[in-house]
Amino acid sequence: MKIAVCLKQVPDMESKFKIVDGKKIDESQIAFKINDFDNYAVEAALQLKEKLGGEVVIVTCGPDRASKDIRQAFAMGADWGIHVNDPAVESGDNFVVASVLQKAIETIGGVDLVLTGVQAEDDQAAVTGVMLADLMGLPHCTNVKKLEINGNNLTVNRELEGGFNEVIEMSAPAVLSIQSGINEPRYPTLPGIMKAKKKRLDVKKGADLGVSPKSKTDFIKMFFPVSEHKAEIIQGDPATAAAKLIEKLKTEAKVI
Amino acid sequence: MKPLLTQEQMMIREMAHEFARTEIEPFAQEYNLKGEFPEAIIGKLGRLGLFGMMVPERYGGSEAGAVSYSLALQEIAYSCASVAVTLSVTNLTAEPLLNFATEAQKEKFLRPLASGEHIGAFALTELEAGSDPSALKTSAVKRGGRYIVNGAKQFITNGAYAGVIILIARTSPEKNGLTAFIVPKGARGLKVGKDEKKMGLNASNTVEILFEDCELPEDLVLGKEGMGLKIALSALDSGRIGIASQAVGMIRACLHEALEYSKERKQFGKAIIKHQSIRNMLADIAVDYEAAGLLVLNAASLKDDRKSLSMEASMAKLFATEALNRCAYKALQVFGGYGYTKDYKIERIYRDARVTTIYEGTSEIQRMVIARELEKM
Ligand SMILES: Cc1cc2nc3c(=O)[nH]c(=O)nc-3n(C[C@H](O)[C@H](O)[C@H](O)COP(=O)(O)OP(=O)(O)OC[C@H]3O[C@@H](n4cnc5c(N)ncnc54)[C@H](O)[C@@H]3O)c2cc1C
Repeated sequence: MKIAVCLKQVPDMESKFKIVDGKKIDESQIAFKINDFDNYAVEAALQLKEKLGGEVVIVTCGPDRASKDIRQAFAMGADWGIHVNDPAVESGDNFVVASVLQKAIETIGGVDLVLTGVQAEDDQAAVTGVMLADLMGLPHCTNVKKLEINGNNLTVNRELEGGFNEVIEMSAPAVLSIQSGINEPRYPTLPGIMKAKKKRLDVKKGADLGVSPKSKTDFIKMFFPVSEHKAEIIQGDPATAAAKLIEKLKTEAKVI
Repeated sequence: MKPLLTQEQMMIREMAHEFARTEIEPFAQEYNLKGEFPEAIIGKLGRLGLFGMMVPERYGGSEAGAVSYSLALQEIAYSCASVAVTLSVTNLTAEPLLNFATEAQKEKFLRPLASGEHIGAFALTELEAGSDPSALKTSAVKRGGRYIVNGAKQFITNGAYAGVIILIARTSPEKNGLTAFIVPKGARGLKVGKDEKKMGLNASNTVEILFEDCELPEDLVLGKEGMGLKIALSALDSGRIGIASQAVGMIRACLHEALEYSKERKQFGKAIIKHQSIRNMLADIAVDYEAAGLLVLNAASLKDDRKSLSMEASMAKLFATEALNRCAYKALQVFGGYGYTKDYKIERIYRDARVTTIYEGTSEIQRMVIARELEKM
């Protein structure tokens, strides 16, 4: 089974974020890492490879620094990768990225399964996987919490609100967006890390893939939301305080 | 200037960071309070390849090098100094095997260690031979093709759990008549003695090792008869990088704990970090962290470049461990009375810190080494 995993490098969310000119983040104080959701996708792909054989190919759009995390996936056990390193793609929106990923995956040839994370931790758009499936003309499922494969038949559990699961049957080739918690991603071993630098990583530009998609959205500005400090301490003994709280949740907050 | 790290070194640090924060930090306090050896955690570290970081691939190691080793150890020591010393001594045990063992011995003893099957121990210290190893008395008497070993080793880290122990014993009465032996777990006549009740490092294993007519076939001699002291001292050179790295990781923990607490705690109507005396302590800790980190990276990169490093390793060990002790003192001071209770991690760091200026050569011995090298210049 040939599996492509789309992997994005994102800032470590524990970093201190500083916005420059209302347009971008000051990267000098930021550590970058694999998007957590993609880590689960890599693990899911590696488990399938261990069970069924085949290969796992990492596909990433990102600047130079992203190669560290492609190699991180190599260290976990992925076989080789494609790194689209192109400022024009970097400045594009999710549609641009999905279009480039589609072309990059086409160059691999014979891919049975494309895995993405549900969303990226940084922009949380949760659309790239869906767009990619549409562009590739393949069936797609989001929020995959469980995955079984029998020949070309996929049985996937899709996580819904409120702890419900939907069981869906579909057939490969397909695109699946993997939800966190589907597995327990392995740590890369030290020998794995040392071998990672010897694995094949093809670096490409959008032009090499024959695409120069235009963004479908305009990026206006970036800002920190104003936080509203609205907290009310309810006084009194526990019984009356609880009654008052219920009353407020019903009438003021209207959440129950 | 910060030395630039390679991509592998950054990846190794990141892996160790993730592992320490997820698999060690949440459990460290409990292991230490119970005085329990964290076998499950150590086993996982072995499988990830952290037991033989300087050992080439062909012997089952990862050949990640001394800089990577130092970075990984710093991350682990940040969460638990006991786990760090267990790792450090295991890597230290691999060194003499790598440098002095025959191919057959490497296959049999280095490979399982480097590939994470078991941990190692290094048995030098005795009741009357601490800083001065040439005073050691444990005897190995040759009879036929065997050596009969008798004596007791003191303060042996990992002693009860080690799959292999490097033993330094006396084979002839002159001062330097010392020989190194490879002692496999379960050797007849090898016994584990008293388990030390320690001030800190309570999740590490420190025991007495007893040899009672322990018979070792001569193919367990490491190097040649009479090379014992040389082998011991060369292992300690890189061992010092290990302990210095442990200290740097712990200073980082001091800084983190003190910084977080000083932002939360309010006295005289403001967070205590706004009081100048507290700020000064935080600044001092941060400077010590940077300085100690650079010294140890310097010694480690000398090792990776196969340059001589005795003096630099001693400098890093001396500075980092002394710095750790003053940092732990200051960080605990920032916590006030709460730092004196077991509810806060700083209390454990303070106790764990104390031994770092003692083992693998006391601060006084490090100064001796440094001055000896200076005199040669
Ligand atoms: C937790 C722990 C783990 C350990 N693990 C191991 C291990 O795995 N393997 C092992 O072999 N050993 C181990 N040790 C032993 C450790 O290395 C020794 O304790 C250390 O070398 C010091 O020896 P000592 O305790 O006998 O002190 P001593 O040598 O008696 O020193 C006492 C004091 O005298 C000073 N001193 C001694 N000689 C001189 C001198 N020439 N000039 C100036 N000052 C001097 C020392 O610096 C010290 O301040 C461990 C110890 C501890 C506490």
